[in-house]
Amino acid sequence: MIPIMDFQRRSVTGPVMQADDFDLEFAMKVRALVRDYEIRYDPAQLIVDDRTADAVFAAGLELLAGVGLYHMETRRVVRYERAELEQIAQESRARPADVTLGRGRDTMFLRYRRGSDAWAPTNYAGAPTVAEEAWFIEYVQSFVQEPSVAGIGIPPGLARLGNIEPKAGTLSEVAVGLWEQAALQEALRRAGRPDLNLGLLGTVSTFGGTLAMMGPGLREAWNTQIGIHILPEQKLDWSRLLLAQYCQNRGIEPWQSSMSCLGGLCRDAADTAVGMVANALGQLSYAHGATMSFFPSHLDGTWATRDSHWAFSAAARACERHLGLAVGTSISGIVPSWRTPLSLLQSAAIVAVYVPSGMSYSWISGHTGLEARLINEMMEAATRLSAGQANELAQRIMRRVDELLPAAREPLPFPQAYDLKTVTPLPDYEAGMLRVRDELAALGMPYR
Amino acid sequence: MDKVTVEAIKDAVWKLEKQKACDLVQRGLAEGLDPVAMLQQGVIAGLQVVGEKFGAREYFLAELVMGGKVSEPCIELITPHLPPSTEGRAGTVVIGAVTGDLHTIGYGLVSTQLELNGFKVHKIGINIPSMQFIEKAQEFGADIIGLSAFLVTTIPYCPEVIAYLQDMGLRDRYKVIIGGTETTAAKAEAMDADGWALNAVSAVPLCRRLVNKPLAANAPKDWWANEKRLAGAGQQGAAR
Repeated sequence: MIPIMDFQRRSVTGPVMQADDFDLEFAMKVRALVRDYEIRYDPAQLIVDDRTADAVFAAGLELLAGVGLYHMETRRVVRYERAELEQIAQESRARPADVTLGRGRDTMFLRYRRGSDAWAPTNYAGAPTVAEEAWFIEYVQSFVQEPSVAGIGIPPGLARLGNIEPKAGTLSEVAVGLWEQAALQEALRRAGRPDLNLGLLGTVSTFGGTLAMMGPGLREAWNTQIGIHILPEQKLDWSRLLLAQYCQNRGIEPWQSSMSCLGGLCRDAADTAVGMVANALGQLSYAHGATMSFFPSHLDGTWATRDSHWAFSAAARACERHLGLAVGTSISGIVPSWRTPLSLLQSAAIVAVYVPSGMSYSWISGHTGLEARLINEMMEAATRLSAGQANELAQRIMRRVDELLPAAREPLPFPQAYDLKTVTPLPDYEAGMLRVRDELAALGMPYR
Repeated sequence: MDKVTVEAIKDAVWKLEKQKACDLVQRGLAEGLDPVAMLQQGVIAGLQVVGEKFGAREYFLAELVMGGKVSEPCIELITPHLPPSTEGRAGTVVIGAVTGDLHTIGYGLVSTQLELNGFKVHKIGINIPSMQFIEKAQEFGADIIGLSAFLVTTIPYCPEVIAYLQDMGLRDRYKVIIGGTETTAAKAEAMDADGWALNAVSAVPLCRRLVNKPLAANAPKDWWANEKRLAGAGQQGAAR
């Protein structure tokens, strides 16, 4: 383990470099590694084999050892010795993730999971994206009233509270953040689950704002995670390190997440998988956490494609075989499909690929409580599939997604999906979602 | 040795052969090749090919960055030889991520797309205080200030820049554009920005519109320009 204080030295003594030059070095190195390790994206096999997973891990470790991380404020490169990274991996393997969050009846676990394990991933369902003050509580309640929801991955953010616009690093950010904490507690109270873990903060994003959310009745070690993640590709700053240090001092499980952009500095799914492993090892080196969400996305902000599925599978399987992390991701369709049948189909393809790839938790499960329930059912069903069966199912679902995707236009607003008074799904929305469940069963999803 | 042609310069640029491109430009200048043609039909045309290849997924972000690195020294070599009236650069842009925003890829992509299309771009980084955008715009003689904001908590820094410009009597000196996942044309209009683009490719016709350059017939449409402000600025420009 590298002590976090060692990143003080590394951040201020590493080689000085322009960001553009670092980006080019990263891009060329990842291409060379993908070539040398013969890593090939194969859209016909969305769940990668052991050889590919091992190659992706080895290439990812070599990538980080070769290019390091770029500190955006000091404009220096944080360098590693290869042996240090091997030691980090060995320590992670020796201590498989077993994180406890929430408490009492609402205790939840994030554990290392193999793709072949019979237990289903934890439904760490969020109430994600931006909500409005008028339905913030009901939106969250739609999730937390679902028994299968073990915790809130991330609560919604607010773009406006009354006449206050939350502005990062100012009084308004904290004011909105405090309102959100009270609203979250109210949603938990209404659902009768006061001890549920609340996951990441919603609107609050800065170091100062984060600290202002910590304390009794707000966020504590048992009901929070704090994001300390590296930005794509391989960029960090003091705020990441300061928050990681804070987590270590306060016994908070850091929220580690690895994102890489398909079609950017990483050309394709193979590059992206290697980039995500390097990113994950980088975070592990300073944050010492036990969980890792992988988010392969395209430059235009979309995901849930064959490329992103393969990239996740490669990175997750690399971790399954070489690290002891609990691996997760968000299970959701693309933005224009939210709360429509297409989103649930895209989610189903994610589930079919990711559960046999070692996913341990879904950090977001759709965009309503009903979707979180249906995704939980899918995750349980997918544990009964072999990798081969799961791949065939995913291929069938993706063909159906291909048919529907061109018609995707606008997400359905939450108030048009749920009755805000009763916090229950509206009939048309519910019927549409249940038809997707029937369709998935016909495609081969082995529901009980 | 064959005489240098603008076609050879164009090829060296899009093939990302930095040394060769610079050598060709230097030889072209020595041989009396028209510097305007070297710039427009050589370097800038080569950059446009890089952009086309990016659109066709033959090139990736790394190639866009390299395109900028190849063209920059070539343009520096040519510029002193241009007649004063030459339309070399389409315009000058100062761009960065606003206070609290650490996302680099979005504004990096916009920067490279603008560079590929003939704009001089000064990337000033992430988490940039509002006043610094204005100071840098003044320092570099910018036409456009580009504000990147990806979070709901960082978007409010965009109108802050506009308010500073207003209060400093500089509002009509610079066009202010915004972009980022949570931004929209409606939000841009509400803060009286000069424009918004959905993505990096669409930022090019937006910026061309703002500096009164003609748009390509097949230019993307996912952008919004504040035509009311453009009409007003035109009148003020005439008055100046």
